Amino acid sequence: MSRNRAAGFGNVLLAEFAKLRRSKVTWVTLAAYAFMVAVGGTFMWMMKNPGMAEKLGLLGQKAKFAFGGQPVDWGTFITFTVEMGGIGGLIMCSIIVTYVFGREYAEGTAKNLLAMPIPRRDFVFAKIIVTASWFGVLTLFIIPETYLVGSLVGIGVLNVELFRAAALKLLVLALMSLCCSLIAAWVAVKTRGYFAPLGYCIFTLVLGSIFGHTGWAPWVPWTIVGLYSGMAGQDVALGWGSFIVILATFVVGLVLIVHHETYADNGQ
Amino acid sequence: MTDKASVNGGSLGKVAIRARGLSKNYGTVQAVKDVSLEVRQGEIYSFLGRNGAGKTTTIRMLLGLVHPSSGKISILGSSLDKDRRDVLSRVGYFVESAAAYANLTVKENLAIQRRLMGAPAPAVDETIELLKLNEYANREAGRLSFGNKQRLSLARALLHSPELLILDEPANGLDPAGIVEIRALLRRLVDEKGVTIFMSSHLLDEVEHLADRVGIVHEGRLIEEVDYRELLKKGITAIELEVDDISRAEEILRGDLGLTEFSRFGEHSLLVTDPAALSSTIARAIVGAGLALRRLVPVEENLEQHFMRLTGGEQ
Repeated sequence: MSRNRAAGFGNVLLAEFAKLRRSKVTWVTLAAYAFMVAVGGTFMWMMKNPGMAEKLGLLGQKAKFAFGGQPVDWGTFITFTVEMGGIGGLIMCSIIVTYVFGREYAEGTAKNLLAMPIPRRDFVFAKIIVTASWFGVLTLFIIPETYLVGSLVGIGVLNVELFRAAALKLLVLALMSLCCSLIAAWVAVKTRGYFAPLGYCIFTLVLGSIFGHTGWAPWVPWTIVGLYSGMAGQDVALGWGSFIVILATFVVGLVLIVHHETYADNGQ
Repeated sequence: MTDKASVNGGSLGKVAIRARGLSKNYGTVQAVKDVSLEVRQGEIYSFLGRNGAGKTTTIRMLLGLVHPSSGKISILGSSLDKDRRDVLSRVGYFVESAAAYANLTVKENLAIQRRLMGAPAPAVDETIELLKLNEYANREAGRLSFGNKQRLSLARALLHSPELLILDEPANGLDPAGIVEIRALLRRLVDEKGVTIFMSSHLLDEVEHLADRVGIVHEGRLIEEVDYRELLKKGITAIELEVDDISRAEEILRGDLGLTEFSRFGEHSLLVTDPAALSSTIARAIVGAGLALRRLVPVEENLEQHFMRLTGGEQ
């Protein structure tokens, strides 16, 4: 009998990436992000062509609602993209993290993983890195897509500085979304599937929406992401306290998952 | 003596699995109750029990998936608690149901397993060959039949050439030819490579064909360990007797002969299942005490009858 040397963290990470091969979910998330920007572009096109927008009725009204009173330029379009990247990103990141962690339970493979001669925290960290990479790629994908769609609509001359600032803001938003979504990963492993974490995501969105209208907004993690994205207006400044809340949410999520995967019984 | 020392240096020889006083409680439900067992290296030990008897929970505890409420486990000479990584790197396993990443092919699933277990690169193709999965090597696991998923799970368990295999119902979902083939493969692994197999099953036929020793588990307790070859050789596992004074007969069996395993059935009949019982000794003692011995019949049992009697009636 040969004695094998179980994998180090690098191999665990590569194995986690390999699990995404041929996964339809990766394409679905990409399509969702592409759709989001395309919808923004369509609204911009309609605002640029108000006559056509009037003829389109309800859709035209929505476009007015989205961009009402705003000039049809790169600034407006990019602001829309960033705002959507904030709230949409929070939802998307929760979906990704739910899939990456929850699939092991939904597909019955968790028991195979957890009995391996590998520290269980390695799987947790590798899955977080996979989620971050996947979500990072999606986030970065928005920038060239926004440029492409904006160019097709004929918004105007490209403002590179605007794009650079938007990319930076989107990446910060992505990081904040990742921090907030780890608790969804814990709900996924705790409840061994997809439904409860997705319910949890909806709950946090409702919670964020409620607190968004109160003085507690800068202290509720899921509201903070929306505030930072600019949805409440560009004049809302976040203090360090808000970022500490986000960091604390990340730590709580991480501790909950690592603790669960390390100590909880697997009765799947 | 520590677990490690007792496994390696004990007079019992090499022990692959040693569990002592293993219990698992889920709230008020006791799934496993004080199970102690030993599996010798190079044997096939079958854990036989009805659905819900505690087989899978015990297997989960042996793999560290479920934490025992009490008790100790040592595997291949090391404590599972203290040397988890070393122990598990030498164990192949599959628990309860076949599972694989549905979007990945058979080969890709095994490649992930190989990477995680640190097995050499050719192991993937060799295992595919061994489990006769060649035809399906490039098929996504989600599109495999249940039987082939079971083969894939077995392949996963065997990929890193483990010294000990812990298999939960390995014949589940296989067609009759597949069962025979897997049985032959497992026997070959034991005979040619010295692998130890601990497998659970509720299929008596499967156990009869494969096991060297059988542990019968019922309602969470290990109620008997049988050397199956001995059972076959002996063929007699119980003695049925009919006497005029059943209470007095029980006193004689317990007090004079030191037998503990017997039970009443009917007004005047006893079934003695104690392994130490001998027909001639019982006859002499009963008659010598002046009781009327109306009938004394050695009962021959196969595993099925034995199991049914121990676990109480119809399955």
